[in-house]
Amino acid sequence: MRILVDSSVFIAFFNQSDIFHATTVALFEKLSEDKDKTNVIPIIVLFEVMNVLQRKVGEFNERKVFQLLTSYETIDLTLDMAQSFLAVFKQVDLKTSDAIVAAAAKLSDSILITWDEKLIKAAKNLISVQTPEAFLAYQANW
Amino acid sequence: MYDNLKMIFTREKTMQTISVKELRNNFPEVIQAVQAGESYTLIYRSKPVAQIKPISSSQEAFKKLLALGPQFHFKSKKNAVWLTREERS
Repeated sequence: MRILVDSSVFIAFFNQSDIFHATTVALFEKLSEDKDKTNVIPIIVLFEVMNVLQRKVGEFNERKVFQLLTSYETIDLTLDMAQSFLAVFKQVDLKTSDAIVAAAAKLSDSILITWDEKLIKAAKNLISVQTPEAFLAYQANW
Repeated sequence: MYDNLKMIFTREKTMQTISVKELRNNFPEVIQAVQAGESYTLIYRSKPVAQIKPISSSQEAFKKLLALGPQFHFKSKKNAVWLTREERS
């Protein structure tokens, strides 16, 4: 099974004050034990997470986080893929960044995991999309 | 900052490329390198067509993320959805 962990989830992991932090840690613990899940990461998620960290954390080992995030299966946004992404954009009413993430999930046949209820509502007819909480509950009952 | 990122992209993390011919001729060495954690972009007719990566990388990456020390974390009253919305607005 492929999953696409959205920027909101990574950011909740790095923000220790976040209301979603504890559940996000529980999700990552579950995924760290699960050999059957492959996380894909569109380049835009990498940019968003690194950009937030660079502004919020200050001095940290950027290379280490970069290498960790790019050890997932990366989805590059190349000209070759543009037509596929644009075709998916027609199916959802989302602004570009959200549309890229939703399209990446669609094209990679992944479950999108996000804390963003607005994105869930807008993308649920196009892709399988869940909050980390719902994903954990679903996995527990599986 | 730019120099740091430039270094990351150009030297530290550029994925190695390998042609189909090179893969065919060096298959045992490539598999051994992948098992040791190396990743490759497969080039066919001068275009990247696939990535060859260790299959356990997701699981390992989550383990390593969880092991990151407090110097990688921050505290903000704005929650992750808000921070992501800021990036996407």
